[in-house]
Amino acid sequence: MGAIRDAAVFALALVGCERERVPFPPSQRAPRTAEPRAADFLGVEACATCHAAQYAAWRRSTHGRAGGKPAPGLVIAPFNGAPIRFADAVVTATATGAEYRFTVLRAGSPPVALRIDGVIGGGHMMGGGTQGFVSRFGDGTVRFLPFEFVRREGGGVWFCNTNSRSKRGWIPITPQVRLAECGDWPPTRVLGDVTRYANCQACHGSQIVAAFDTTQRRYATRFTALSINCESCHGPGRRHVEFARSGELGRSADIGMRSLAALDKDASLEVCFRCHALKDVLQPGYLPGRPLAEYYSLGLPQLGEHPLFPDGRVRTFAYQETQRFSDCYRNGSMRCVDCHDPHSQAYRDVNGMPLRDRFSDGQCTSCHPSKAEHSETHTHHPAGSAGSRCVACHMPYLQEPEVGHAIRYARSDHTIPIPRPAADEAEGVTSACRQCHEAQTPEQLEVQVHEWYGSLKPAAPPGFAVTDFFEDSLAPDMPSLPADVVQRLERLAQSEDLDERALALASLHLARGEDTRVRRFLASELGRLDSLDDPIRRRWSIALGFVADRYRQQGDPARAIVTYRKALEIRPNEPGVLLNLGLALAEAGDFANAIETYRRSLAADPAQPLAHVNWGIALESLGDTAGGVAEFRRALAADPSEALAYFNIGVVGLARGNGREAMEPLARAAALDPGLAPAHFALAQGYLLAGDARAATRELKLGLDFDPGNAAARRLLEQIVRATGGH
Amino acid sequence: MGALVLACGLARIGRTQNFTPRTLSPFAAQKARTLLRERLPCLGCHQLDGEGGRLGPDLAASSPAPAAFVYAMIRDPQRMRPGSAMPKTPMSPETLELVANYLVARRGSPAGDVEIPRVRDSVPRDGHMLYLTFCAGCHGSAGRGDGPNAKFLPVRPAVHTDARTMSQRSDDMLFDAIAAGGYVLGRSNRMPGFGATLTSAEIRGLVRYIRELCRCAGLAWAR
Repeated sequence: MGAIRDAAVFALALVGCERERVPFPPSQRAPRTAEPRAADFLGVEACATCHAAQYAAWRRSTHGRAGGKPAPGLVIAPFNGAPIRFADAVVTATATGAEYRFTVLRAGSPPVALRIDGVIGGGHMMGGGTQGFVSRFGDGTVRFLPFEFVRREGGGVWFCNTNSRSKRGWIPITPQVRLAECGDWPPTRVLGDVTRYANCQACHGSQIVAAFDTTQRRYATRFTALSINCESCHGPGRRHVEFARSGELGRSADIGMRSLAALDKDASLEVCFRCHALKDVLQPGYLPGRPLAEYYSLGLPQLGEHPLFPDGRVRTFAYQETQRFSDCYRNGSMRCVDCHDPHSQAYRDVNGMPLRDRFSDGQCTSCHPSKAEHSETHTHHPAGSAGSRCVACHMPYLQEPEVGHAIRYARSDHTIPIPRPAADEAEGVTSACRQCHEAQTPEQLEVQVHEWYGSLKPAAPPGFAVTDFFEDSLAPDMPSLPADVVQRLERLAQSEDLDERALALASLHLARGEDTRVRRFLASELGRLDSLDDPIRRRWSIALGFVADRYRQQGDPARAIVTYRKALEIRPNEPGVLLNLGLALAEAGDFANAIETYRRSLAADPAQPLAHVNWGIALESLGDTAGGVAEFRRALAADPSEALAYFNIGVVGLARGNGREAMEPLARAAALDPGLAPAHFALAQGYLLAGDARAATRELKLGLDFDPGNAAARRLLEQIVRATGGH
Repeated sequence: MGALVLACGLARIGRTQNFTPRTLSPFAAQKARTLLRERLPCLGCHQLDGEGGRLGPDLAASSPAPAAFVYAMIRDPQRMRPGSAMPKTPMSPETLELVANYLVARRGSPAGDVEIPRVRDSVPRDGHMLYLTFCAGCHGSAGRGDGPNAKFLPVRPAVHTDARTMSQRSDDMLFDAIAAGGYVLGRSNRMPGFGATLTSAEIRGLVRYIRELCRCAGLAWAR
């Protein structure tokens, strides 16, 4: 008995020892995949000699005509010198020989000439085909210009995207639209996965890589083509061409390239999802042939923005990845290439037999021949009528909601749903039925559907359960979670879906990461990630970073700090998280620790001028203005195009009451980023100090273009107008 | 109308099948083998390198049959061998040519053309007869999933007497599986499609026969 009691005491002592914080194992990070490299991509001409038929099909395809240098055969927009009139500007699109350009004229400002270096899109898409334009900028970036063109019956119309400004969607440019309503004015959307600029522009061309070159102190933007070339799908061609030239092709099963036709469902989809999917960037520098899951997440974009409804249909904006929510994918074998010929982008059936067009029933009936047997029995529409087509009911063209309704930009619903008129309308989706039968109410259509089909197949369970739970139901270090919730998360932590797995781990870490049992589980999971160590840790860290960012937006730096520190437990030297932690610390008034965190961020990645800028702001807050200015200058030493560094130097000058000292850096800030409203407002102050009311008025107006809700600037403008009588 | 009659008449006339094989590269041969194993239904009945069913001849076994016979059997087995249990599998001309070349090389088929027999009038067959001809080899003559070929398949064939499982499949789902095969429905690629071999009425007859085996009704939806 005594022995038993002693054992119990020993066991208790062990439990006591275990209450110490369980450490997480360090990353087993494998060396970053370095193959293939940019030099391994040769361009389409290297393929054309041997693969003439595929090349000819590709050349005529939408991929082959997706973009390139401006030329008459490619440009569909009218570069005829006709004015494109805004409320406050006139833009002319002109072509002189091979040179295409926009010229922007605004009263009181010198003309701005924008040379067009690339054309993106050719207006191919049936639901609304657009064409955009890019230009090389002095900092090495290639940026989208704000003036885009969409085909319409009888011609087309210039339009711009206002969602980041006036939030009116995509709207035609008219004399009622201000230039600054266009989100791309001034141009900031760059080609490539530059994380500072939220975008998805690595797919508007082939093998686009943009990275900041610390030696040259500017961006290096490289791409093979602005069309979508062979190597975008097949991967780099260098080894294959070398084999061909050496006569090795006929002797080895290794031809330096894999067969895409033999890929299984998910591997085949991954080829298309390199571009045809919304993605979060896990790390920049992706090139076809590298493991997609190490560079992008398809699931994490659902955090915050919720681009998809729970049934997978498009809530804001998406591409064709919604196919993953179709019954044909979930319970079948459907790949993109089962309907789309990858070389010609023509339509075909699952057996590879060519079909006439996008409306051909063979896309569906090659898998569902029962529906072709007596088609009218199923469709309840006369055979041969538009309403009898499979895609009329199951893949209707739906306007992408984020675009608005002024510009048609509809894409066929790749979730391939059963029409459920009442549920569709409740979700905010125009049902397939009402696409044609506009006069009928959803309730009437619902009755008709049930009259024809009786009970419908139950809808699949809604998706994104773990995403929604992570986003809506958790907080840092909650006192408890129900046992069944913990168990479910632990099961999801074994999921083959990397996003789901990482979100389950991040959920447990966020809510119960200090609980010994949960912590031991997380440590164990981290220890057995093996080859998934890097992709899971990146997703986990980004998910926690998302929550922390949201706490900062809500003005809760304390919880943001806790959550960023959890993210750093998973990826200790993540420069972006360190920078954001520094900002949260500064917002909490802890400038000393903020500075230390910026230092760590820069040690992890020196190519961060913004870390220097924020370090400088923290020093200023501690009263070290000279130190602050020195940091702003270090930001400029790293990147001479960093507008915020000039802006802060100017603001220091203004604070010292030295308008003259402030003006030059402020003017450079406004020149580098004309959309930086605070720079215009600060310049206005400087001009007022110098007694130049007219220039101050101009700068206030320029700033209000981009920040129309700034009450202080508006009051100041009114005061100046009153004082000067408008002169 | 005259053209239609003429077309039908032509189809009923026998003809010569030509096929000139070409040598596949090791890469193309590997691709053909992958398609045979993972995409096409051939290994449901035939074995290749020790893998696959035993209902048909070994695909790699040497044979005196000429290359054109191999090609014609893949292209349309019912036409080449009327009454054969081998269904016609729809595939693109490129896939047909690739697979035929691969098998011709593996079998060491000699060159030479073959005569394709005239089309004969089809004889109506009921569901039971069709089941015994095309399904029983894997699914068993009584529908218990225990046909002689079942043990050579990577997944057990559906047990058509299993009312609980079969009642979860609509009649159209059964029709689609029989007509289009297992692969496109996310099931085993070893289950061939019979849509290019049987008439719609014959497939419906098979569906009815399976319902007799399971003594169950299917789901109400998917009509």
